Amino acid sequence: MKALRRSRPGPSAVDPLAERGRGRRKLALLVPVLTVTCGLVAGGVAVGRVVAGSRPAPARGPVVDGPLAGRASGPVEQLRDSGVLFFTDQQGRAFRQAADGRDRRPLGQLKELGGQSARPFLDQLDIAASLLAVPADRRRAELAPDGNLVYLVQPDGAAAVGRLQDGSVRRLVPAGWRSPTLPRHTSDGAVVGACGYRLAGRQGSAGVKVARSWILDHAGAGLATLPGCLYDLADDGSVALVTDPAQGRVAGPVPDAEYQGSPLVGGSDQLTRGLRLWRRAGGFRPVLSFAEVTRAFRAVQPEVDPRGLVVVTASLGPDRRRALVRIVDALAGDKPRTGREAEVLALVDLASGRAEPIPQHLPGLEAWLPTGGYVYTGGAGLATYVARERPPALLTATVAQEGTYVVAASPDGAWLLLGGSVWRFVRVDDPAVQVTYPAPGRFAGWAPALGPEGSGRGGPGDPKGVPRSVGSQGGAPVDRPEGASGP
Amino acid sequence: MGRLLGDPEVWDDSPSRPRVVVRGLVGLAAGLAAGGLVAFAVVPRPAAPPPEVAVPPPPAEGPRVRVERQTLDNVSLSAGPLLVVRSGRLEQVKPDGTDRRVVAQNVRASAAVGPSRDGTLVVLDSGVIVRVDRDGATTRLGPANYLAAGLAGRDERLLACAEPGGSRRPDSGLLLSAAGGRNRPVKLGCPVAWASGAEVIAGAGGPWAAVNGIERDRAVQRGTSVLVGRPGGRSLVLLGAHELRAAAGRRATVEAVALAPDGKLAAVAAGSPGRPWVVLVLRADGRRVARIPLAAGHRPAWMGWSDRQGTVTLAVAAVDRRGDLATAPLASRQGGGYVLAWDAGTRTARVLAAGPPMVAADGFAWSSDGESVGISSPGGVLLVLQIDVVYTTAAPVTGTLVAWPGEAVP
Repeated sequence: MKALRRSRPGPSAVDPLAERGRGRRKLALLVPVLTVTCGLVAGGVAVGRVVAGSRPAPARGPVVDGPLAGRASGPVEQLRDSGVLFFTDQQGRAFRQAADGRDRRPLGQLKELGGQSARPFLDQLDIAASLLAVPADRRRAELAPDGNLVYLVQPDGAAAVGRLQDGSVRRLVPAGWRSPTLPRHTSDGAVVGACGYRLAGRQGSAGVKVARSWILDHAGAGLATLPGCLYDLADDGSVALVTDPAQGRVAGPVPDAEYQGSPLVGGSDQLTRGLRLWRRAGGFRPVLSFAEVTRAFRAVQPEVDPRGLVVVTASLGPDRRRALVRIVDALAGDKPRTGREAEVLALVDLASGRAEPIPQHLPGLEAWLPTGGYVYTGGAGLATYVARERPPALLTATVAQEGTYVVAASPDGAWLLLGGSVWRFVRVDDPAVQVTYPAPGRFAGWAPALGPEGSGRGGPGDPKGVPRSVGSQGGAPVDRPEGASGP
Repeated sequence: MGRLLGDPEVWDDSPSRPRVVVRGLVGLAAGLAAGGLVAFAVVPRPAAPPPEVAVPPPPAEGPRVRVERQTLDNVSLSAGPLLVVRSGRLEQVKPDGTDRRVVAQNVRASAAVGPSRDGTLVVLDSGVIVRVDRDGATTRLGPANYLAAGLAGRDERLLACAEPGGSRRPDSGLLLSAAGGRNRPVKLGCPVAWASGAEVIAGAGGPWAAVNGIERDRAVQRGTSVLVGRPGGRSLVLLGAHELRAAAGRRATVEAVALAPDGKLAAVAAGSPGRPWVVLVLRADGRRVARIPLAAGHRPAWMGWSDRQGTVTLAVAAVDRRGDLATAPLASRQGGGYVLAWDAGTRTARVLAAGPPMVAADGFAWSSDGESVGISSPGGVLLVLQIDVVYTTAAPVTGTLVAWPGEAVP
């Protein structure tokens, strides 16, 4: 509202009312200016001090969310930089995820991977071959660090290599041959080896008629075809542990056991009685004799009949100077839990050929660590880690309760995974530090973390290729993995 | 055009009085807010400290063998109490950790015989043979200057072997009675054994050899033959020096002797440091029944026979003695080992325990029913029940296992 004012009098006429309010009005202007200024200064100083003296909260470890939320126990954040785990599910899909459970992604699908879970670990046809070769663990497929190559045994029993990206699968053994173990391969997938066998007769009626091994390069070209079984291939492909036929001739055929239910051998002369090293540069070198096999076994079975002793597992150490070898008594009967000791694990020095037994009731899984130590499990449900010049250390006593089927080392050797119904990660240097979470699937490999873009090329070796595909067998990529390379 | 109501002459046209205080307060508030905002925006913040890695609390202990309650109950049901030495006291405790009782104070027993029917127990404590009565009172047995290195016995009768030293010969064995009385010398040296169910004794005999590499900084006297006989009777050579060395190596000496409960079988552990050790199983007439080679670098730490309803089984505890472990005391030995059970009926073997539970294992014993083996170590007591399947459990018992008798000390 506008106030009407009287007409202003002349300069000489001073309105007492107006004069009286002028000072107050000036004051009303001056005081806000001053208080605003003071407020600016005071507020600035106060808040500035607070801000300058504040201590920001330290960054915390990764928040576990997604698939592991609330289901992991232990310091899961310590697994953050421990690489990438591969696993498969019952539908044949392959996945990857960080070791701490983050970043789960599908990689692809192969119907052959799906058939793995339904296929018995040892079917009737494989029983006869269980005296030829037994895998060091019970994983059903293995993924290469690139997340594309898959090493597996097809439902018809043939070792094969597949590619998740295009769904192709290639057999590594001829038609009609079966394989007792997964293919062995170099760290970069450039060299692949597989063992194959044929039975002398129909199912369950005879033993192994013939065993052969094939070593192929990345182009699928054969590097060698060897008699007997191939048990392991060095990471660089320079050497392989294979059957030594000369020791087989020394030992003679394996007779059939007198116990009902034992695998029929049929006097096979194809089983492994000793080992030799195949060298890619050329030639062989004997590394384990039958006499040493017998001597090692007598530490757990003093009066064993040596005619029944066969080598079924051999794993090269990371330095390629030692190997873990499992020796089985084919004549021991089919009840190892209630009968006599029928297996022994031995540490073989490949230079001297000496086998040092590792006495253990019902030896189970075994694995090497990149650092040179090794781990094995036994009948009491214990997992034991042995480092050089150190006493054996207990990793866990839950092998039986958790149905552990695989022991695998992290790429840096700092952690061990005991995979079963739960995945139990154990720090090698301090087994008291353990992380567990429910198994997301069937373990299929542990590789270094991929590159920053997840390019799949950041691992220890960039797969140069695989034996060429002979055509898709029904597989199809489910979901192209981020950054996956290739066609 | 509108017209204002009222008389203009009486309108108050004086300017409103400025509210200085209010304006000042509002200005101050505005200034504070503006100043704060400006300061919040422009004042540099201190650098963030490095990320805080959540380190888990240090665990109290590492993984351990699990207590399998059912196995523990089965063992406790059929077996007697464990005799253990703990904190310088001799205690008896049931395998499930219940009914713990101090048998004697200030006794560090390395071997025990009994308890007998009257409840007395005889133990070997730092070379002294000591009888422990029911009330815990202790009495020294044997000559005052006699230091024993081994003790065996049955009921109230005892066989001790001497710690060689001074003028005492290695084969200065002694037959004693727990009830006291006259002692009888017997020409047997350490180790000695007494069949638990028969009147048969055994021990080492000459020629004697000084062996290095078993104890630190000194040689120990070891026999190269094994003698067997009846208490008080003449001893016969069960295994001569020539046969011993033919079977176990040129420098082999006797490390341990054990007699089967009926005295018809004897086990002799022999070898030499740095060479493979073997266990020879012999009949009473000296015929060899079996030869059990131990893993390379492993030396026998204990042997014992059990009789489980007619099934006679020999257990051999072999411990890693390679390198610096050769002369380490059992309780501080940081190395593995294994316990092998050899069935005399089927002449087959099984591994009962191995690996981490054998690290620093310092006490071994069969249960009186012959079904279980106890192994003590600083980590606790491991019990292995071997019926058809081998069952393993940790026991809530600590201490060094000395014996596992069938009956408790009353």
